[in-house]
Amino acid sequence: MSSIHDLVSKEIDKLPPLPNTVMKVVELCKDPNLKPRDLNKVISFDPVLTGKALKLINSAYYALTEKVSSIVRAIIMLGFNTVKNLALTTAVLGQVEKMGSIGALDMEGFWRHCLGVGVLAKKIAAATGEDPKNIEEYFIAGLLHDIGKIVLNKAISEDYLQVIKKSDMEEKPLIECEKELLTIDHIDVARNICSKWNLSDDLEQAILFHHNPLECNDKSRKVVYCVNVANIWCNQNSIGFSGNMGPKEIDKKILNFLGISEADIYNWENEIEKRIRDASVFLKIS
Amino acid sequence: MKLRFWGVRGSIPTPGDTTVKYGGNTTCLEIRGDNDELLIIDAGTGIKPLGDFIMKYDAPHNPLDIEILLSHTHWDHIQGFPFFAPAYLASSKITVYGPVNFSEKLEDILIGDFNMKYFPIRLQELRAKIEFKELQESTFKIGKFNISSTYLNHPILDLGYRIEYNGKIIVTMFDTEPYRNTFADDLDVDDMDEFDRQVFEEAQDEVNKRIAKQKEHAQDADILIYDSQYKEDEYNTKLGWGHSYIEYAVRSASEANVKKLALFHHDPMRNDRSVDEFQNSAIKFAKSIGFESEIFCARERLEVVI
Repeated sequence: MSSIHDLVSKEIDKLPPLPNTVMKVVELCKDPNLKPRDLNKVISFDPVLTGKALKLINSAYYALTEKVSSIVRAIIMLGFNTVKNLALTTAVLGQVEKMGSIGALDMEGFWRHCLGVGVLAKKIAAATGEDPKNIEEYFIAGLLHDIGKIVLNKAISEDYLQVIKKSDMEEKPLIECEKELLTIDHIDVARNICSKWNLSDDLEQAILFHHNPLECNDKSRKVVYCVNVANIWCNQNSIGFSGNMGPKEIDKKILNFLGISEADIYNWENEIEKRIRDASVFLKIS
Repeated sequence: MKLRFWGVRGSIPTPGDTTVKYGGNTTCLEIRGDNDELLIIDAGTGIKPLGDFIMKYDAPHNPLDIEILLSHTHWDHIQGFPFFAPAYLASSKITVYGPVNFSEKLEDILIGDFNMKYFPIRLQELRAKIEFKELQESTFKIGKFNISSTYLNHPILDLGYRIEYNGKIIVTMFDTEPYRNTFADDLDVDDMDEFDRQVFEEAQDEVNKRIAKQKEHAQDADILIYDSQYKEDEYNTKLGWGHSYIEYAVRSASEANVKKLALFHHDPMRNDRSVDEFQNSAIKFAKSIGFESEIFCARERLEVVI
């Protein structure tokens, strides 16, 4: 019998993007006047598509000396057509793999959570004076932080449903329930994904340490902290649904490091919701 | 090192009595080391007469071992390959290098040239031993040539080459156009929302990095062969086509402290007289910015000793 580790490992390469993103990519790419701005928008609304596109961009096919951490940079560096073809290929291949997959997590709610964390992480970074040219990476870090859950949800959906139920019934952090019931958690899975996807150090740190931010590398501290705060806040305030029914409190030390308060975040709530609404309209999600 | 131009035209071969001075063949360069080692850049129609020359000059003495670096695989840079005579000699060994996109193979792209509907011989029927190597941004050696390749700005992946040999440097930069921030298209840069502003800033940062990398690629070259298909006013109506203009070529050469600038990839609409005018305009522009190195429009069969 295959172990959970084997099942999960096999699933990583077959992760499907969202059906709406796929349709939107295909629709946009038919337009000869498509603008880089719109292509970037549609890719960056989807964690799987973003991750897989970055994986290809950073692969041996292009042998870039520096890892690329955003689609915007890839479009300038490799050209619009290259990235367009790559997005189309990634989207359409993913769509084929998607057939018949039913997961425990509601993907639309989960997508809203990822997008919310991305938008908020970016907002926090901007508020703390981060250079605008680096800010997109905060969004992508937020978008991808829970990528491990997508694999668990798809590879072992029945078991994962029990994990989510346990988190709900016991109001316990999901990650602890994962460890108890599955022996692995979404960070273990994400570690595997990061090594396969060749993501930048900052993205990898944000994904691997968003639950244990104090243990991250000094160099990536800010992006990890922004994603940690954004994640807890979105869970506490039901921005989308990540399966985590027992989120921890935001660590005051981290807020002090960033120089923001929870009140600041509440002031941005409307903007975060507007961004998610705009994305839904763009992707034609209900 | 010696450099000889065998094809200097862009887009489509342009034979005729109005292009006899600069020539009508599409891109092909011959580079020779001090011991006659051969390196070819691009396989446009210029590779046909170069192949004939190699058959007379090199083939009678030794089996041929030829390396061809492709800037990219657009038609005008590969269409001469089926007519390259050394490829029909069983004793020849030919290695073709070039950039390809995700999931493509260089050999598969070149096979298109040999589709029976376009040409009666199949690639597999060529008698030479031919090897294809996909190339990215990298640094490598071919014999005594030290080569580095850099992505340029063209609608498909395209490489510029920096070739160093015994302290001399030849740099190619075609087909390419100036990097620009495409995330500003259709937007008022002074009136963007926060989201667009951040994306714009990030894209601008990447544009600046790429421009710096291009300068580094050409730095202190003994000769820079640069895409100069247009004049600036023409270029402004051809954004995104992947070609540059003379003023930008001159400015790039000046900033990289280049010793000689060859304007290259002439537009097929240009006759000899207008290429002459191009050269004069470029020289005049260079003077206006204080750039004093030699500038000329590349022409077929011209040999430059580096």
